[in-house]
Amino acid sequence: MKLIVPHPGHFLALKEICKEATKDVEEIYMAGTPEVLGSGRVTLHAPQLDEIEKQTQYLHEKKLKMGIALNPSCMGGQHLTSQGYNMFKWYFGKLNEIGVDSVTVAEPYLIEMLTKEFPDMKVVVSTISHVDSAERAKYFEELGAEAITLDTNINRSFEILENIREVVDCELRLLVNEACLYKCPFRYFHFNLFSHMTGLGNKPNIFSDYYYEKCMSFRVRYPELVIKSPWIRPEDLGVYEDLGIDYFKMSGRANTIKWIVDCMKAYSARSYDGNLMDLLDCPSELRDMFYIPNKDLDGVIKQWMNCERFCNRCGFCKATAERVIRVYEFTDMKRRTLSLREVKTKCAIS
Amino acid sequence: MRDFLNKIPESRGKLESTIRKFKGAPVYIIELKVFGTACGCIGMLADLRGLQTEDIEVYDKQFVAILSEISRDLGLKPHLIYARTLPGSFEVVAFTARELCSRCKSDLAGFEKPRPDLIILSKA
Repeated sequence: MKLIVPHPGHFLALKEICKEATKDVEEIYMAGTPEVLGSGRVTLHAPQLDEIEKQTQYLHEKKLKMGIALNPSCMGGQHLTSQGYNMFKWYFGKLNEIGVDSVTVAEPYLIEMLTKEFPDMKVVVSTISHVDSAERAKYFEELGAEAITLDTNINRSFEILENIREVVDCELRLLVNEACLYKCPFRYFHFNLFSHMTGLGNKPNIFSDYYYEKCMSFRVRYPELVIKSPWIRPEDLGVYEDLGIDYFKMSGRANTIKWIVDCMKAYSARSYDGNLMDLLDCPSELRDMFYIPNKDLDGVIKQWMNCERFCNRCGFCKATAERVIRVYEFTDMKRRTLSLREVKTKCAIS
Repeated sequence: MRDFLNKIPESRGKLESTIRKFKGAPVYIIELKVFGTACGCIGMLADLRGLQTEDIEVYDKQFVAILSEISRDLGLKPHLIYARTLPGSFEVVAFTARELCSRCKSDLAGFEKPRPDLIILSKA
């Protein structure tokens, strides 16, 4: 197993993560310089080139690799202008000189451009490119990708994963704990929003992150969505290794150092005896609402390995949610948990 | 002072469990804040997840009752209790109980719907 670990971007965080890095950690990644190219995710720290250089050297001294994520889903066509091309080429050239080990991009043109202009640099396809089939994986491999981070929507579609593994030779990565909604209706639009919020040009002055708020509200109202979200438990990594996928990427570069380190340890140990919500990135706001004993989910992957993805006919995830999810209640300065059934039936009692 | 501070998490929990009881569904109060604004208003603000505007229509009386009770517990005498929605959506994202300064009295309390994203639940 090889683990790819997120990094918020400031040097202090990198040092702390390295201090705790487990033997499985191969690469640590962070966002690049937003003055040049944005990102598809929240970016809390914007490292300039000199900082990227220092951090890359530091990682190399520790025998670890540095990855830079430059994965906006929309660049407004800038990359296809002469000015944009020159700027991105200059920036990628600098990253190459610095010795950055890999660059993760979502835009197909950038994959081909990097492959052609900087053959020494490893080009990784972002999960934001939504590679969800063997056909799409082949296109990206043809463009020059050396690694593909697969669409998280297929994390539990084992036949598709197997098929992708069969048809491409490049490295395949799975994002284990992003835990976005399965088939999220907001996904493309949210990535586009972040791309414009973190990138060049006029940043929209939004009144709210509608997609995030709606995503959280959906999960509160329909807790089974937390179970349906395509996360991968630390205990289940072996199932994916048996398919020939052994690069596991953790999501969460906007989280705290402690959160990142704890997740890294859990995935490296292939075991976590605690609240599953502690490991999940996207719904981390709800870790004080839901308590999901991770160990109670032992064996559920067997169902998902044969899942046809027709939720209305199956109901397994909903039943699992009813069985395992507990809801925190705070009274008399103490927290206790209630089952979902208790929360729902209280209405009739009161 | 410590007693007052302890009332804040207690009130958050009370608001959350009371709403869950009358709605019979999970609701999440992310944070409950007691605030003072630059204009002179004071009040209480609860950020939340899982409520929609139709819940306000159905449980309007129950919301006013619990928000009034919590306001009293915190020593507030709110002139206005309102829900804030995410503009253009059905999502209710916050409740506020507010003692208004003279300017906000005319800005907020003088109209049935002072802003498109606000649903007035109660006026003193």
